[in-house]
Amino acid sequence: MKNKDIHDKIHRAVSHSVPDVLDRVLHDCATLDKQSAARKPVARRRFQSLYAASAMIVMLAVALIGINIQTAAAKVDSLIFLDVNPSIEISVDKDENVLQVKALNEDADKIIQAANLDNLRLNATVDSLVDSLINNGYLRENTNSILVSVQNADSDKNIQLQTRLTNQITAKLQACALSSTVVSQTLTEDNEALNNLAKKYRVSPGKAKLIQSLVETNTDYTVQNLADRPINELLQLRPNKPDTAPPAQSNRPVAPPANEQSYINSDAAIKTALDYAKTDAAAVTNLMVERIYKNNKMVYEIKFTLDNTQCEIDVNAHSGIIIRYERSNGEDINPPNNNNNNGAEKSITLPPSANDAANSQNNSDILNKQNDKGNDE
Amino acid sequence: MTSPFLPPTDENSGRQKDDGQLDHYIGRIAQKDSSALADLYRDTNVAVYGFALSMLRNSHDAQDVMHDTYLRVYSSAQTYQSQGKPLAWILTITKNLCRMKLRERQKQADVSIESVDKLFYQFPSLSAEDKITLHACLNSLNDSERQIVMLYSLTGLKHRQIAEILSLPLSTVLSKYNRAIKKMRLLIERENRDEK
Repeated sequence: MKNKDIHDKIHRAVSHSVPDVLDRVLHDCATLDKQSAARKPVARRRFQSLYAASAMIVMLAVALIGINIQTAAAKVDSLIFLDVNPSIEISVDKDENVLQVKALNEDADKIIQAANLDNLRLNATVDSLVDSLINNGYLRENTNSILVSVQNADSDKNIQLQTRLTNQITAKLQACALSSTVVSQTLTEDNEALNNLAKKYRVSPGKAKLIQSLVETNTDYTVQNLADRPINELLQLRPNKPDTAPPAQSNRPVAPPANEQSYINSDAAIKTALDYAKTDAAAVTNLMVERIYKNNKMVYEIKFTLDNTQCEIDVNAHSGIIIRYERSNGEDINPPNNNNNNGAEKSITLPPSANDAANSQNNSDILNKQNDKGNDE
Repeated sequence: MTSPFLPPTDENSGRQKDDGQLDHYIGRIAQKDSSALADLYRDTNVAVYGFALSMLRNSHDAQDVMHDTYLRVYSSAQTYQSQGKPLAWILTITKNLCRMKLRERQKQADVSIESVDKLFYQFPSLSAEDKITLHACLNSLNDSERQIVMLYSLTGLKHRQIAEILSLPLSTVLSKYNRAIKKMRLLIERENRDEK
């Protein structure tokens, strides 16, 4: 049976079972039209009667309406930015009524379109957006870090809102059985440089602030390189994580570590490397492992001395696959399945400037494991 | 009163829609031309209903969503901006309405996914072959497989366009489509053997 036969069968079966609601649709559309038409004459009559009553009253009414509009005009009180990879801006008034939900990048467009934003309250809007992020696969079991940035002129309100939203999103993700990493921060209104940076790279000011802090601590990173990286990966690049908060989040009340579930642990990486070198921990000295960002990938760089030869092996931190094996005598041994592994790698590309980052001083996760011979395992 | 079912002819086919024609209908609907809405309905109802059924697996809910989709098209046509994807626009409305329906369903524990047998009962005119096909599609495929296969079969949209509507990566759509077609083929062939 060909594919086309199956499609034909499906089409035929659905065609035979589709109910006819056209009459009801047309009837309801006509009702809609009548309702909207009925509203207009009433408005006109009311307006005509106002004219008839007194030109002064009309002018007074217009003036009053003008004043009313001016005072009650929706004024943005707080800005909330949600970043996963989609970057979303929510503006709310002082009563937390949502004035606008704006997509700051293309991914965010999809999220907003798919979200039910009928309820104009901030809490409900955030809930719907998180739902949409989950439904669209941006928040999954292994990649569920979300950055919440809050901007309000009142610093107390700023922190209060930040804490509440962080708790709300954490609870929401937990309810969906996702072990979450919700990182939050507050922003100040007057940081024009940060806002310009965010606009330039189509990210939120919150994400721009996080990226800026990473770039400041490691000259190998550039804003351009990091702008399209998801929050989960950016958090992995923070220096001295998870013991100390990064500079971008120094004022945050909640700063859990970035989600680690998507990476293999360092012990597994070491075992893979030693197995590949056909040795074991007892036979090597000066064993050291670091997790770093290198050639567009998060890798474990494992160094050790074997038979007086310095060896260096890179293991993909996601997949546990050997990427590079090099010995100090100049021998460069490509892993046999290297080409086959490429499909599993992230395809996001960094400019070459970042590609050599691993060999220089880096600020990524430090997982040094000094090993005197025989003591490691 | 029209017939409870639309005639199962090829003229009623929902596949390979002329986007220009659908755009033209929507333009006329924006001018409150109800005959254009009827034309649009006749050209797209199979796709809209099938997609809703694939998401909801409940014929009553799918019928409600189909009704609401055309009402929404009628009320939103003035804001429609043609990007050459009128069917994708309509199906996105359907998808959003289905999601709202699913949320409602979550709140009402007593509303459940109906059995395919109930669907057959409602439509006694379904042939044995139709029943086998619908059974295989609605009961044996997972949510995304069912939606992808339905959209592909009923709309003639390309995998890329389906990926956009369902907000899934293209590679996912392709792999799920292939898996779903294999499942369908096996099930239909097995059912046919059993029938004999």
